[in-house]
Amino acid sequence: MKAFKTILKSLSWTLSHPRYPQRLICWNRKKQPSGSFKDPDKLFHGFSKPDLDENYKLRLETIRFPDFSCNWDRFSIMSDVRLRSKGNLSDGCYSINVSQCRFQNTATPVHEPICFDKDKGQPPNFSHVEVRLLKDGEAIHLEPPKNRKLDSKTEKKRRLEYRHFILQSIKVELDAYFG
Amino acid sequence: MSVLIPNTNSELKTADLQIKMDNSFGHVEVADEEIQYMNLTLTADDSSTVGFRYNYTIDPNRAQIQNLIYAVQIPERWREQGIEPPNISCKKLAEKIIVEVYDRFRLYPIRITATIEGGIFCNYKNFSHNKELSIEIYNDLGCAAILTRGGELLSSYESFQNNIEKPIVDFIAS
Repeated sequence: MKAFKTILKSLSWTLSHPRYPQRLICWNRKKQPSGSFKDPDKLFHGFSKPDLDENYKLRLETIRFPDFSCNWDRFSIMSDVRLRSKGNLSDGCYSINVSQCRFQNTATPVHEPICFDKDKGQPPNFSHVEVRLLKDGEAIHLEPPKNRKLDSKTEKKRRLEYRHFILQSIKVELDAYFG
Repeated sequence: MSVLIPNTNSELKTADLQIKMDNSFGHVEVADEEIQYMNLTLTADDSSTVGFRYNYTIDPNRAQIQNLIYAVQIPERWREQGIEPPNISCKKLAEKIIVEVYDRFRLYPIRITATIEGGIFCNYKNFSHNKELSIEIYNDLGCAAILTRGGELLSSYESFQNNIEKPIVDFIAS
């Protein structure tokens, strides 16, 4: 019954938004397990002008971690980041790959599709992925819970190191348009 | 004995300032901790009509750092994503740390902004050795810092607020 409702809502969304990419609509597709991420898979993230410094480089303080939202390249293309909630057509896109995301086993991507049933008001996005924090010793194929934040002094340092690594690993796929 | 400074300078508020003097007139204590650079010269010894001249200056760089910290806000789109703006305790701690770095080492940050992690971000650049020191002060009053050179991570520091000397010395050194 739930699957039928999702299909019906997907169909309704498709009819009311004929130009919205079909690849992002959930239909009846199932969430992928963490183990299905391959090392070269890319994760796309949108950025805009305020995320850049005076030299047009991304700023460390704009990189969110944990629960860093991305689009998985298996189900989307880079320009799809502009269609996210609060996104803008002038936004740029950068990518990191899954092996970079799993740097020192600090974090792992978790497939978290945005479908109609739980995220009201947000456009559907089957490719949505969240990079979540792993505890020391946890396997990279585990799915850590949402909003996990370990607040010890060492963890803060580790998170800052990780964000710096992500900043250095980023590849800009689409430039932001400044008008 | 305690007297109020007359409001002869438009920048000063009479009610904010109180000085205490001992009998010798050689020792003057400024009760307001905010005023760091006040020199007082006493010109009379009659306790009923104490007159004085004062030279009141504030280090403009120091004041600018304080203003920058308290002016930090988060972008509107972060607010929509549920990111917490830096709270007042975090700003006070940031002021303590950044002003201390300025007072002791005369280092001025190139950027003071909000961080998406909830707190204040401060960045120093050593142009001679191409080093960057990035400090984050969080809303829960935690603090972490990293030292980088050309994108390469040199060191990272936890509880930066308790030991600022080593990171700063590493940052200044070649």
